[in-house]
Amino acid sequence: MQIIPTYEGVTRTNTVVGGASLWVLSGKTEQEYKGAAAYLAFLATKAEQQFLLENSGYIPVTKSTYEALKAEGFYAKEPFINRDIAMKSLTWSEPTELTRGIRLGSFIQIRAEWTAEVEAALAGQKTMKEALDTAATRGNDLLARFARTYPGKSFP
Amino acid sequence: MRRAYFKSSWVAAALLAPQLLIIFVFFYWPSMQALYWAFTLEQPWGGGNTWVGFDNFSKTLSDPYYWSSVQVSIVYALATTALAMVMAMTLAVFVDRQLAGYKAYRVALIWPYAIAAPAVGLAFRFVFNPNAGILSYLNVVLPGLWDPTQIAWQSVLTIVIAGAWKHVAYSFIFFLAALQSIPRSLIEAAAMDGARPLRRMVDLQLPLLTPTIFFLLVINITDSFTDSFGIVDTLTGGGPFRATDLMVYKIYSDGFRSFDYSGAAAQSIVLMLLVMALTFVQFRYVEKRVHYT
Repeated sequence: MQIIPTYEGVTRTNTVVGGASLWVLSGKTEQEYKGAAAYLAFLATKAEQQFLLENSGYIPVTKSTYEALKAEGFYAKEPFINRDIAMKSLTWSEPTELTRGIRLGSFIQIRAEWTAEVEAALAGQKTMKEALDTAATRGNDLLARFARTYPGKSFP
Repeated sequence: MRRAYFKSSWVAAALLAPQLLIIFVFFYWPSMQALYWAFTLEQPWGGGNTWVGFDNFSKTLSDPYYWSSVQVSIVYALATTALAMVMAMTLAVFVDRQLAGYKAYRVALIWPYAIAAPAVGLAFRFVFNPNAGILSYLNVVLPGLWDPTQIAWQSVLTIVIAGAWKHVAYSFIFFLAALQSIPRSLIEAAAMDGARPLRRMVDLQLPLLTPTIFFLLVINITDSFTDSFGIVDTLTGGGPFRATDLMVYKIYSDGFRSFDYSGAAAQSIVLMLLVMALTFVQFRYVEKRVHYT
């Protein structure tokens, strides 16, 4: 199995990471942060990651686990053959400015705007240029709204 | 008729209290909160809010996509109500005439009412799936004929059919009860005068059913506006390109997927006003044609 080909003259970069994420919010006690840190460390152990990806088909969360599994021959035996294609695509190049994963307010709404516009373009209702321009305008409106929800704050 | 009174009013108050408390906690309190949020920008994980006046409303109402959502909600409500009521009425008439096997029908027709909307949606997914569903045979005959994931009107059609199917059972129960409460003597008198079943239906049963029809009209339209979430979420997810993004589904995706509580609250208020206005119109203009006995 191979990674999908690119157009000629296009440099392949890594795939943008997606999926769920875990957050630790501010304003808690020292002890709670210790607990949260211990929990995250537990999730990042090799045994836990392996349990997750054997049972869910997900990817390893840390590079060290990925390398260790590869060295063990984990991806060489059924049913895990070719599961590392996803990892190859995610780690293809060093993350660039545009492919390093996105963190922004109203992310899900913005993605829904993009999806709906691209669907409209694929159905022939508008050109892809119009669709993407509309998605960008509406996405910017949502970002401005998010900024107004948190007045005077900025991302750390 | 003799009436019973409570001697002391506190007993009555104590008996009413649990019910009032439940209504307050699960209706008035959240509604007030939503009303307040609609005029603020609420931070999703708590921590404060800013008063913005009618900003959320003007943002919602000036969005052309919001109006297409209103439009498709109205189409969905009217189509679902019409389809469900005509089917329910037809089936109820058959059961009322006690055709062979009507007892089995009666149970089978009431059952769907007990099925949760997401389950209905999933079942219809198997029917409507363009690649593997029953309707995929259409694509064998004419490739590309049936694809609700690409063609907007087909997507709307799928949720209308699923929604109507879900509502048939409820309307059926009421129609059957209403038909059976029409005195047999009236029907028999009409039959002796030479009225055939269809004539009896149009001139006798239908006028006597108008209170039930009106009640079901109000209930079905309100329900189609506020209770379509489970079917949309499992069948279409609002797509393709917002074609089935009903108002109530938009409230869910903005509020609970994207944590725009304020925008969702404003949309809820608009939806509530719309349903109230529609109900008012029905009572004001349609109810005039209802004959209560």
